[in-house]
Amino acid sequence: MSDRERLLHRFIDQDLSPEERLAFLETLNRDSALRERLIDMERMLAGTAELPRLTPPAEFAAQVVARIQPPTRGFWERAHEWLTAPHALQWNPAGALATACILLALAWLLNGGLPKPPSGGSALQTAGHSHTAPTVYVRLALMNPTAESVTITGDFNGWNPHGMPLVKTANGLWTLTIPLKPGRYEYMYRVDGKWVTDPLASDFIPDGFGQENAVLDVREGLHDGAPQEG
Amino acid sequence: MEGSKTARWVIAMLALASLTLSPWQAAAADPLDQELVTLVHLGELQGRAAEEMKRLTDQVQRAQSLGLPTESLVDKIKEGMAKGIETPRIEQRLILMINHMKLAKTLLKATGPSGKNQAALGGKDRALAVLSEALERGVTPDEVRSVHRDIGEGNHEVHPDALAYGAKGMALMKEGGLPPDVSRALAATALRKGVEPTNLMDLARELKGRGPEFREHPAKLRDIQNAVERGHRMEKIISDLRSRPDTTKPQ
Repeated sequence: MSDRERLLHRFIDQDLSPEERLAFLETLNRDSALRERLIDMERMLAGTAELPRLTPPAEFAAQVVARIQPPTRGFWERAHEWLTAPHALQWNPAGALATACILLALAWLLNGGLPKPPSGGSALQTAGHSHTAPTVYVRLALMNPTAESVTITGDFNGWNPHGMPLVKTANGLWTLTIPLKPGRYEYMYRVDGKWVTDPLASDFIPDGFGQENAVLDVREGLHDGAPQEG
Repeated sequence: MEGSKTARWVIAMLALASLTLSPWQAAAADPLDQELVTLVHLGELQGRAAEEMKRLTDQVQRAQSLGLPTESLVDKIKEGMAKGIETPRIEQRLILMINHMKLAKTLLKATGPSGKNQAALGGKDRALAVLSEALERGVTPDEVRSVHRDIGEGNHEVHPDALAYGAKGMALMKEGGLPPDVSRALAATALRKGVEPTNLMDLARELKGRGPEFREHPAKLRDIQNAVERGHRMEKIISDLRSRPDTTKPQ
């Protein structure tokens, strides 16, 4: 479109400033071709105004809206878009610290609390017996009137070298009642520091080091508090 | 831009913290590992060489990797340490125990039935521990297979526990000097008759304790065999036996 043509359109549209309009009219006065062109265009506009006015059907708007609405997308499409689209990370130190604390707390909860650091005493505890099994009280006895000290040690106390002391009663009988879970235990007495096999045990087994351990089979079925002779 | 750098720093710190915590928590989560570490420390406190202690814990870990129970091995280390046994001797003992366990596992697999009893075999260490003890007490693999055959006589399905306790019962009776064939037959018959393994152990210990009496008077042993064969209550058999004085012991 030429400048003259553009001015012509702006004149018809009444889009010219007063100065531009005055200048355009002076040009129009001098230029007969331009004057004819203006007349043609005004005729065309007048003819257009006489055309019947079309009104769209009622459903036209709804159809157009339906066409321009974006298609509904599935969850995975939206998820993929969210994951792959660039996001700006807005954060502050307090928020980051809070997030870190939450993550650590979750990790702590999932691990059942922080593990206890190893301690020297833990290895000396008997493991592997169910805590839900009933406790059986076992009475152990050793006759030794001349002994100064008698202790017992075995699987049930992790072979603690210090052992569990027996109490001396009348007539030189040493006794101890210990609570045990059902199971099989090997043990020995220490009489004045010497390893001694329980002569009253119901069973014995070589310890593999040249001596015999006494064997104690603690069974379920006895009531708590009912002593089982060892 | 500055915020993005700091965010990356925070994420890196969190990742570093998780990496630092993970091995500690993993190690602490395994009670066996924790116990073995403590055993090495205790051994060092006793003046034992760390390398020698490590060889003991290596044996336990080897057993674990073979799918064998480790509790008795850990107990044996503690026992050896308490009794002041030299570390190489403890190691030899562990090797022997592991060999017995491996053999017991092989026997249980070879003689194990299919179905639920096989599942029980896979889930329980008890049969393995009891059969290992039987082997340690001198029962041979052939005798274990014979016990299995005797218990399974008449198409009885043999539970791994039954086989293990049968073998142990036989071992105890053999320790008492009873003939292996009689011991095996007695244990197998009792189990086939539905005797509880604990009751069989009681009988076997009683027979072991009175071994000289039965060797001297084989007829008494045959009476017990007959009572078991006829399905008499085991508690009654044992109480009758206990009420009779041992004729070989001075009164």
